Amino acid sequence: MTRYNIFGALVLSAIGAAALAHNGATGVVMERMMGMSAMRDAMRDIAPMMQGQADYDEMAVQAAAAVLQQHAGKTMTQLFPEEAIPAASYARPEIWSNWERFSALADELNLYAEALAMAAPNGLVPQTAMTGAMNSMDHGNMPMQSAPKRFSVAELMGVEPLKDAAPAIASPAADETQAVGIDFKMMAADDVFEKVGQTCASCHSAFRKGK
Amino acid sequence: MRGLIRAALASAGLGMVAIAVIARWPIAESRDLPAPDGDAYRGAYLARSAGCVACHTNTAAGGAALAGGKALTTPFGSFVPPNITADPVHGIGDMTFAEFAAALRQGVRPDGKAYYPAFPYEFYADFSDQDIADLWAAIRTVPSIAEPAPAHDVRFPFNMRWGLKLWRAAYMKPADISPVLGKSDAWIRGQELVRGAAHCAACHTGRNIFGGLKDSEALAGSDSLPEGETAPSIRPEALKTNGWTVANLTYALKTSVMPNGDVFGGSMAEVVQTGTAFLDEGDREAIATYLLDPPEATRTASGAGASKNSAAVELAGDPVAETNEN
Ligand code: HEC
Ligand code: HEC
Ligand code: HEC
Repeated sequence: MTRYNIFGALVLSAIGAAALAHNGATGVVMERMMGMSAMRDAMRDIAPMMQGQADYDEMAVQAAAAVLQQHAGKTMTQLFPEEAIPAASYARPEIWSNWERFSALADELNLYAEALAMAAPNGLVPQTAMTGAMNSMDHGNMPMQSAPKRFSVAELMGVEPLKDAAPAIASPAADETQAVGIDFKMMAADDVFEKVGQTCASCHSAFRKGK
Repeated sequence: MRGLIRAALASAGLGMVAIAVIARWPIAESRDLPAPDGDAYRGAYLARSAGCVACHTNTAAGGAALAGGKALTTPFGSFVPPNITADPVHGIGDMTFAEFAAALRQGVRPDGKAYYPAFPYEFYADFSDQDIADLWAAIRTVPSIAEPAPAHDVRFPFNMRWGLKLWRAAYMKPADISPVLGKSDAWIRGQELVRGAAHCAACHTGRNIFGGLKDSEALAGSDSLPEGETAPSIRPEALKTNGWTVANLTYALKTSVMPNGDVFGGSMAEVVQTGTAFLDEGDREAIATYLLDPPEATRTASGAGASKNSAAVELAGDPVAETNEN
């Protein structure tokens, strides 16, 4: 094998590996997968801090929030042009039949990413002595702790929407922080981080196929 | 008896006589069941943990609570979780307490026929009379809806309910939840949730062609979920390989965020959003504690005497133990 060929083979296998990592996708599908993966890595980097398993680092949270903002909202939706879904893609056709909800979720992610940047200086909610309360011996079908009830009967039964949930963002208003009536500057970073995760999950459960 | 019934199920040669006999075979243990006083909060908490609210409410279509759920599409056909509000005609308002208990714990209808296992009653077999009374009380706090949910669309022969009695006899495995010496309270509570109410195995354990759960593959993953979805293994070795710890699994059951930074998708995202996110932190931690350290029996089919390490090796070679690595 000539030197040139070896080099060529190396380049090809490097491209191959990158493509395989995204199921062999190309073009716009490849682009959106790379955007999603960048967000995944940003989430992975700060998740342990948000769980209180690693020291809180405001700069790292800011960096992750910037990555999320870079890939959310319009940047995300424009990578989903309506087209026949290639085999390499995990996108569901409902994206285009329910575009309004899909793009609302992409915007919501953008909003929470901005919110995460705003809340980053606040750090985490002080941790309460949670697990110490796990002392129920009777092993009935009841919560372990005798902590205050988090949800009402009506919330648990699905009769009333959750009080602590942010209202659905119908249209991203001019002043987004006002639109949802929540002052993110006052929120703990881990609370906002949870909202980010829930937004990713809401979109995935409706619009991303499983493996 | 089980083997015999399974053989009968497998061979298609059931005569009409047999059908007539089976159709009359009483399966519910009839007993007088006085209704204890129910506690609506306990019942509502249980209805959340057990998925009753999630399955019987069509949230995506803006349906009223418990008035009927989104159809579950399976290889056997499509099952619509019915209206279980207290409406006497279209809901379950005319069931007696004993009938309600038989439905939940035994999968038996008031008319003596069996329910389809799309209703995961196998996992509710261990509910106490008090649990059932609590559920009953909680359901009664929900406004009645006087409209039926759409009918099932189940293909032959699965649309023959008498066949379900055979199914029940052959495959129904009431949740086996028993205290294990030397385990913490959290672990015991976790076992109860995972193997009972929270019915993780309904999706994470493989099923045979009749839809019966495969014992030997407990929590080892399944590719026979509604809509053709796949659920990965959640045995301890597989979980550990994917970077799960008690802390980050507890967290994921609230937020859907996985250790690699991706989030749950598909029905698992729904399990979290409509179920485990409502649990108390202690209960989520209990589930994680149990899953990362279950009893020997669920580790491997053959691994009774195997050390943790050899069990891990066995699982590593098992394709179902391999999970989403992007
Ligand atoms: C508005 C909808 C939406 C939101 C919000 C969203 N995603 Fe996605 N995501 C998708 C879709 C659709 C796909 C499948 C894309 C494809 O295969 O063509 C996907 C795919 C992915 C993938 C797989 C990429 C690959 O290489 O196959 C990862 C990882 C991911 N998303 C992470 C995230 C994270 C982390 C968040 C939140 C910070 C998030 N996503 C938010 C819709 C969304
Ligand atoms: C995975 C989805 C699912 C979950 C979870 C579930 N159900 Fe159901 N349920 C069904 C389906 C499907 C049926 C219809 C079965 C049939 O027709 O054979 C059903 C039937 C019933 C019935 C009988 C209704 C009638 O009219 O005969 C009752 C009562 C009931 N469910 C209550 C509950 C309660 C209480 C819970 C929680 C402890 C629960 N279900 C959890 C899917 C579910
Ligand atoms: C309705 C079906 C369903 C039920 C019930 C269910 N799961 Fe899942 N689970 C899934 C699916 C589908 C996936 C794959 C999710 C994906 O593709 O993102 C999954 C993935 C997971 C994973 C990720 C494993 C990994 O390493 O990738 C964990 C952990 C998990 N489930 C735990 C649980 C627990 C604990 C319960 C019980 C409380 C449960 N599941 C109940 C369907 C289910």
